[in-house]
Amino acid sequence: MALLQISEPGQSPKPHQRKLAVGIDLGTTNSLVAAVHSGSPKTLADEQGHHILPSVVHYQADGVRVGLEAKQQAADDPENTIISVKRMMGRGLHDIQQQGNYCPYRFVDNGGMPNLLTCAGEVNPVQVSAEILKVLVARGKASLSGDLVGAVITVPAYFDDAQRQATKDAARLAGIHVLRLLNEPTAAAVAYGLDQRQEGVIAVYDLGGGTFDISILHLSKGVFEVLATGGDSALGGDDFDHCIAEWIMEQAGLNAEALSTSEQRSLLSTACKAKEALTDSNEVEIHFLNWSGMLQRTACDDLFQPLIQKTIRAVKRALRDADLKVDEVAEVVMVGGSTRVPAVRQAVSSLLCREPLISIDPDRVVALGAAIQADVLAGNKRSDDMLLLDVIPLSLGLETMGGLMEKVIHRNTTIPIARAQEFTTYKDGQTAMSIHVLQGERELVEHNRSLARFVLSGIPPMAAGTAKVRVTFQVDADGLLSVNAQELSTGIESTIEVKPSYGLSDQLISTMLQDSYQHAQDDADQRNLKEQQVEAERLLEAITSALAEDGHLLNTEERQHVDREVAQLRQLAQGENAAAIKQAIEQTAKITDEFAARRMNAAVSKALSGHSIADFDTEEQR
Amino acid sequence: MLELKQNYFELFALAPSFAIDKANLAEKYRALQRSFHPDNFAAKSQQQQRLAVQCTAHINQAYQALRSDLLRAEYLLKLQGADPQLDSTTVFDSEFLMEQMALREALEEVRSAIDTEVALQELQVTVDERLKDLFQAFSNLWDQKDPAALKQAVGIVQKLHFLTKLQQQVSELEAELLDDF
Repeated sequence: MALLQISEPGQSPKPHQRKLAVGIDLGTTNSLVAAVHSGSPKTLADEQGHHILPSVVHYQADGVRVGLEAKQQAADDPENTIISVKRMMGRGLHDIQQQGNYCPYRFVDNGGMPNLLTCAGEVNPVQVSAEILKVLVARGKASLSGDLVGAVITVPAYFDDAQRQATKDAARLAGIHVLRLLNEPTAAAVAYGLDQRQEGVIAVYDLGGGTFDISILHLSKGVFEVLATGGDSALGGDDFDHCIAEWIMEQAGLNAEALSTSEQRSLLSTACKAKEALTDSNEVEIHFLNWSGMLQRTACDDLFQPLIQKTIRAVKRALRDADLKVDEVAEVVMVGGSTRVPAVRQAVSSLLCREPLISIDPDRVVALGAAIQADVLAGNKRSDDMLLLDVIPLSLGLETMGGLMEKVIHRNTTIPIARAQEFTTYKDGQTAMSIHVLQGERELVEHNRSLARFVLSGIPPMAAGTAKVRVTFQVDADGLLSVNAQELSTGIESTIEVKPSYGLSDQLISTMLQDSYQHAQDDADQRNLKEQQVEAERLLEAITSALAEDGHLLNTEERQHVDREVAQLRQLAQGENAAAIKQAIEQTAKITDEFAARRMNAAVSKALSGHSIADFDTEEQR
Repeated sequence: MLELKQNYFELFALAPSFAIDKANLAEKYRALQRSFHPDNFAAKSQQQQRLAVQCTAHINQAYQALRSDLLRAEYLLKLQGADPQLDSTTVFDSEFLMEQMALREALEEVRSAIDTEVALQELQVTVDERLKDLFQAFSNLWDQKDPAALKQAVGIVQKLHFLTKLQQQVSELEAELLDDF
């Protein structure tokens, strides 16, 4: 464990070289990469000057194409061209088919996230996403001319644990250090909030290609506090296209089964073009196969109404969750290409009684916000300037007797958060316990999402009801859950087996990583060593400055113990044994635990006194 | 797992009382978050990041416990060794029980009311006022600082649980009716 370096409020950290970091908007339809350059965030273009990278991956026998080139293959080679892969992240085959979208892929069901059969072999959605990320990161490196310390990747606020984990795994496969998974609406608010220095309540309405999010935030002196979030992780512009596509088929007297996969794809792209045309004109002429006809905007609005109403209900719910009335919302931010649909803008502005903000390109605003956050996290800016406090979008809980879900952490709880729950055995001599972790709001287990099943083993045999197992849920700042368990009566730590229901196991990821390095095993070893050395360096630096500042918190004996560990770690870090360095890091961290705890306690009052009493007084008078 | 040693009131440098200045609490919460939030450590060692997560988790939990009136009342009792959740033997006075039954009846009748919105609002006002009275009563008892008052305060918190649950059901019903528009 470690020692937090707490810089005095108002004092910036050590001057150092500017670190390069990017913000990535990994979208359903399109992706973008952005970075802060000379103080302001900009999206980065490829060599041809394109900023937007279509989130499309085309597999061929001899390689992979990503982006525009891949998109052009969509109609000709639908089975090998993966679009909207984001909808498959952290999802089972059943979920994907239930989304009701047309999917020309050849799925291979393996119980968890399904693989897709392409002419380059089986690939899973995490690998497909990793291909998109690789292109974006390469673009970042090229345009910033240097190595990146990491990236902030945005996810829909409404993404559950499995979807977030899958996104982080994709980054790992692409070799990216994830500084933070940031919620898309929060990123958008950052892009707007800092530009316009708003204080008060902001609603962010984010309707992208495949997902819908609504977030209610409170802004105060650079602190973005998410009050409530809601949405639908399977509702977006694609669904609008499907509405029009169905209308065309109805008008043309066609049915979906009669169309070939390329015809289906061409139908969708015709529908999408019609939708886009109707943003600026009142009617559009549509041609599909031998049929042609006119679609009026008013008729189109009627087609969209059920979808739009679904989003409006989510906005109302989020406001209720935040305990706010419609008139308390100071600003409305529109994000995502689908907010260009006039009927959407109209519905939102009539509900919230104000004109939404649209001054930043809704396609780029998320990436721009992510770039700002990446710049802060890389250490280029004082965190005093800006702080994001996000929430968990869906409740986390456990299966209890009778197939019911018991919530352990409620939705809209600010993260990071930890909660413990105690369980006991129900049979004499029981030595193992099976625990089912769930996410969702419904009462019955089957209506919620299964995240993982844990088997706690090694419980000492005791009479029923005497063993006490404490299960701790911890959600980190990325919104990712980890669970640990301990048998309390004996103090024995029980081992946990984690089986992610819709994720990839760590082992599978390592295998994929190795495969992707192919013959470069030596490179991988070298990289691992380098990583451990950097990690050791960071820890040593942290301990050294902690000792200099707060060495008096340790007695002589404790101090000697720490010094010995530090010396040993320093020596090992100069060698080439990665495993030994890793072990020494863990041990050093462990023995400095207590020291760190003491420092934290000392630091609390320091953090509060950093603000003058006058600040608090003014607050009180309000 | 690391936990800050202070109790929640100490953590925010507040006196342990029911009446608190929420704006002041929020300000101090943000000050602590600025110092300890994992975002400050994203480029630091993994151990520092882990510690920051544990630390902020504790700060968040403390903030939630103090920000909510009911949770704060419960926490105050817990600090005194009284846990309203464990003590389930309390028998409510018949006046309270009668009132609860009447309120639940009113909740059921909202659906069939001629003007559901008005009926809903009336019920909300009644429940909110009852809650306000009970919180005031708790605050007064707490300030007396004697064992008899503490025991009474435990009873109040149990009543508060009843009413808070009812309040939740009222807003769930509101959500249901609202969504029909």
